[in-house]
Amino acid sequence: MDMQTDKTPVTVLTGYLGAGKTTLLNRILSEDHGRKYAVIVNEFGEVGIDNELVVDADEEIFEMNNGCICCTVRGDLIRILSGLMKRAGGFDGIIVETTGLADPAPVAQTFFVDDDIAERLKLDAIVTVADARHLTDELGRAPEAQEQIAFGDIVLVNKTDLVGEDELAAIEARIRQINPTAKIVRTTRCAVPLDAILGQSAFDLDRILEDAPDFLHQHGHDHAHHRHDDVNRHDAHVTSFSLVTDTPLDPEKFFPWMQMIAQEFGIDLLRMKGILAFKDDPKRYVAQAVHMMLEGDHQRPWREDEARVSRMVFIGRNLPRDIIEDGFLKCRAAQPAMA
Amino acid sequence: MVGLRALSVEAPLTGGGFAGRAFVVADGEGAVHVCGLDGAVSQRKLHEGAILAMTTDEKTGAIFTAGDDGRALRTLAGGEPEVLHDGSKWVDTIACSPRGAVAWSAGKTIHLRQRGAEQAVPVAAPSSVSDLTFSADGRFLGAAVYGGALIVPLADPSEAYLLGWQGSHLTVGFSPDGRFCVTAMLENALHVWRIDKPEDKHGRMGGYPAKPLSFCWTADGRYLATAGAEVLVMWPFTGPDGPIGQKAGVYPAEQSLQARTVASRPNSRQIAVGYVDGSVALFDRKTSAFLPIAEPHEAGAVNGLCFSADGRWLGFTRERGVAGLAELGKG
Repeated sequence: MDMQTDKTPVTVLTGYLGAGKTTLLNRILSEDHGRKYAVIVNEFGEVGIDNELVVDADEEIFEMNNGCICCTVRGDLIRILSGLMKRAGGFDGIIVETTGLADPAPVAQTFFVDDDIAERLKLDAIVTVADARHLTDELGRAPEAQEQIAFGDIVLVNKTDLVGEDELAAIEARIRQINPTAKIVRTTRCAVPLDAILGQSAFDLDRILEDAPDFLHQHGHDHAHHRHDDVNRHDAHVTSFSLVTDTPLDPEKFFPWMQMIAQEFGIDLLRMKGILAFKDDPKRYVAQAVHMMLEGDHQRPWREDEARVSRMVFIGRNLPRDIIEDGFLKCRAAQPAMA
Repeated sequence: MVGLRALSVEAPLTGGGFAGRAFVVADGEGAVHVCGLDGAVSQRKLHEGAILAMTTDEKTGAIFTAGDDGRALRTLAGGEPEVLHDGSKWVDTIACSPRGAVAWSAGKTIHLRQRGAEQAVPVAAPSSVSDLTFSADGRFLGAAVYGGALIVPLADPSEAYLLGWQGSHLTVGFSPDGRFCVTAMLENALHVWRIDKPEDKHGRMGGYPAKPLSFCWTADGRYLATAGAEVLVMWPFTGPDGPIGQKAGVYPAEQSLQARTVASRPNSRQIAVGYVDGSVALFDRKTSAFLPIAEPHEAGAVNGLCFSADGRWLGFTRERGVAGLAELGKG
């Protein structure tokens, strides 16, 4: 779908207080990459580089007047991005830093809601910076921290020099419970190659679930993968699960069901990604959602050597897995009877 | 016949207006380009970064610019720019009234300088400001904000009040008689309030496939013409409550093309329409016909459109850098 390659990519940097966002930002800006970035920050003056365009934002969250309470956008971002687009020559990329307690959803939704923004810019990826020492504790007490991990396309586990290998493995397992599709990168002082975080095209429908670790290789039979073993844990705010079936889906059942899920559970649905195989359809269908905002399109044909398996990942706040799974399985197309 | 001149600028265009005997356009590199009606063209660099907004006072020839360098300027041909504002935040919007007041905004603060005043007074807005417009009678300054339109009475700016409606309001205007305020919203709709009874008399004007950011009243004030659709949309302002409870008239052109900007020709029944493909047409209410003025252009959508006060000239800007000036004659 996204044939336009001239859209300016926008990277969102999120992460809990003190995780190292500003360190990463300074790193991006000071590296000799020969590219021109505009940076939108919320705490002016913390970024120590002045040779790039750094814009001060106010983080204004606007609700849409469309009866959907989770449909929020960053009003200041629309204004600033529109302003940046007025500059001659443009930018190779734009980086948006959010505050430590921010919900990433309004930033992401801004790119779905505003047609004028969507025409010129594309959301490249949400990069979540996490402090290896404090993440477990933060996830236990701060819903914001869980949601930032949930939204991340890339999670930088930073300050890895300050914790042991066992602890790191536990942290990564905890991140995986919340977000099974994120790319986890271990860093010290946010020392990460820039091409590991910029130019990711994580929101391009073509890229959906392409990099998802241990997800594509699941066997195709009907089941749900519980990424989460103990629902009674008090910190189980954001969880995830995946649904898989190798029975082709009936699009006439699937689309109304997906709409219903987005309407019914959109407030708690943080991100959804799916690759779907429809009956008598040679092409893969890919879909994603941020809260109630759904988008999907036909993609390349299924390859001969590829199992036609439909897979969906749901990340959200206490989503009713049994209800969603039941609905998903009911979208399977009727199988021809044996002769 | 229509005479048309083109002006190519190597930067996005961000505004246009008539100042004295010239059509002036602003660009994304901080320069204004002055196209004299006599054919002379000159340019001046005024801001360090992009000019985010521009307005002009045709009578005095003053050019008002707002930049992402944090400055607001008032510039007269040949003179040094007067610095109205110099701060750290972007100056997002600027407007001048036909009666000599000027206002601009940076972040959540509106700065209003009354006619003859040395200093601007600050007015706090509930959010950052997307657009500023003075009413034709000079009584009000309107600001498009999150949650509605902030009305600043010039007689007492400390008594500013909000015409409320949930959502993000992006542009603002007043009917020529000063009785109605209209905003365009993020949700592809307009909202209207009767200023004397905003609680009871207000309404949504929806159904647009795109944001109707550009709208204008016809010269006689009887209709509001709007962009944002593939037809020209006209809302009646003939009854006591304007368009509230009324239906819009729609006027399809020969080809289906989304209108991006509209401007009403003074003292006439004509409305200029700028399209997403860079073309411009002149709609005549008498015949409902669209007369082509400018061809489609690779420089993109017509993002600015305005007439000289005498209605003889139509100036327009395209997003990616080619402006046009059409001589329409007496009409």
